[in-house]
Amino acid sequence: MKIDELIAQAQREAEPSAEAVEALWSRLRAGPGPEPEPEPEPEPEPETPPAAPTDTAVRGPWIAAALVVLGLGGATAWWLRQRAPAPSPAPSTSATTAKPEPAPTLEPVEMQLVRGIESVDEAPPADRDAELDATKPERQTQRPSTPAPTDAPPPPPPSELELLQRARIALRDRDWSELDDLVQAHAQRFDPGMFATEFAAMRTMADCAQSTPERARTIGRAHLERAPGIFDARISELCGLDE
Amino acid sequence: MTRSGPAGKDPTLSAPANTAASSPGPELEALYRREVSFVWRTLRYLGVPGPEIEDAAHEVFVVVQRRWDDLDAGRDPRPWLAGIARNVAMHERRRRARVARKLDALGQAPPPSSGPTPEAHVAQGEALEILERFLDTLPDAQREAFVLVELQGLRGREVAELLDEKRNTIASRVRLARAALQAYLHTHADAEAPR
Repeated sequence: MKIDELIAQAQREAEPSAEAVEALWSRLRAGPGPEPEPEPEPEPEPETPPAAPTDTAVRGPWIAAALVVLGLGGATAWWLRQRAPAPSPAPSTSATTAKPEPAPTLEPVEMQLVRGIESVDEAPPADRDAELDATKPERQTQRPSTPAPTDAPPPPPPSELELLQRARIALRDRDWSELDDLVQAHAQRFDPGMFATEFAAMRTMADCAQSTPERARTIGRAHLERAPGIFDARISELCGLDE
Repeated sequence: MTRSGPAGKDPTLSAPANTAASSPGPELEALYRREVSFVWRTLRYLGVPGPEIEDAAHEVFVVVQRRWDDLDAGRDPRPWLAGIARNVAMHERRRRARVARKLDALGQAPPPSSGPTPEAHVAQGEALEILERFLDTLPDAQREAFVLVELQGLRGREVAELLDEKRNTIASRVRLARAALQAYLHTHADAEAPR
């Protein structure tokens, strides 16, 4: 089997379907997602009793019940006024009448708005987008679970020491991709920096781990000749110089 | 790597009318229509599984919309898009790796699949599946270089700039990955031969 044939066929198979393209565009058009609305709550309840349920069979008993409650409330108020000068609880009657009414159903447009807000909630927060920006290879490992407020200040960039600590963890976990990122971030922000030797050694180790044995030995030897240091043993091991 | 400002902008790539508003502008739509396949494939080749690609592509274009001013209209947008897609894919890979580690710790890791051989896959029109299986065997750095150069057609110089590597490093990674693909196909073809 030829590689080029395989690649050409895979390219065709990897194309998105027309439906997927349109669906994705619809999502984008519906809203960008990254800036959640500050008020994700739906419309507030109307103050007056809503008239949404128009079914007279449902409304009739409620009206009767409301009239009964109003009558009882009025009688109670009159009785209380006779006994004491305290204010009557008449205002509660309006609340009582409003209570049994079912919540108004949302109009289709409102439902769309709510759905849009829900999809916005799932979108990445602003902080994370900053990490995703291709122009910033340096990346945070933490991913906030809830969208950050739009006016929240971005987290401070890690110090050189923090980068080194994270790099050591990546080295310990053999997370070469993470280590690559951290080394690049260090080079961009601190080059040469206080820990240039350490980061150079880590870069060598990451390169060795991701290279063929022959190439790794070349990289390792070059590093040991150029900048021997406290990582020599690890470099020798990872680059296959012990063999 | 930071892109230069929008000096000498192509009028077709001027900033969308409302980058911060709720709906994308016609310029973004034009870019989307032109490059969605490229973004989609990039995400797929970089390891985003099929069901997650739409979400990931959405994320890419949301970032594109927000960072529109970073787009240099005088240059091919693909390296820039590839960089965003790469970061989205990387996040996704790490997220899945964390989930896999947790499942593994719970003894619920899915068994490794042993599907048909590459030849059988191709016969079924599943070249993409073979390619994805192969890509999963590569180290991340090699995979990225191979995908962006060999599969997505970016220039070595662009990829080197994007990944902040030397051109020779990128060329070496692509060469190694290509050799590995040849060996992979050869090995799996051999496995089928005795039948």
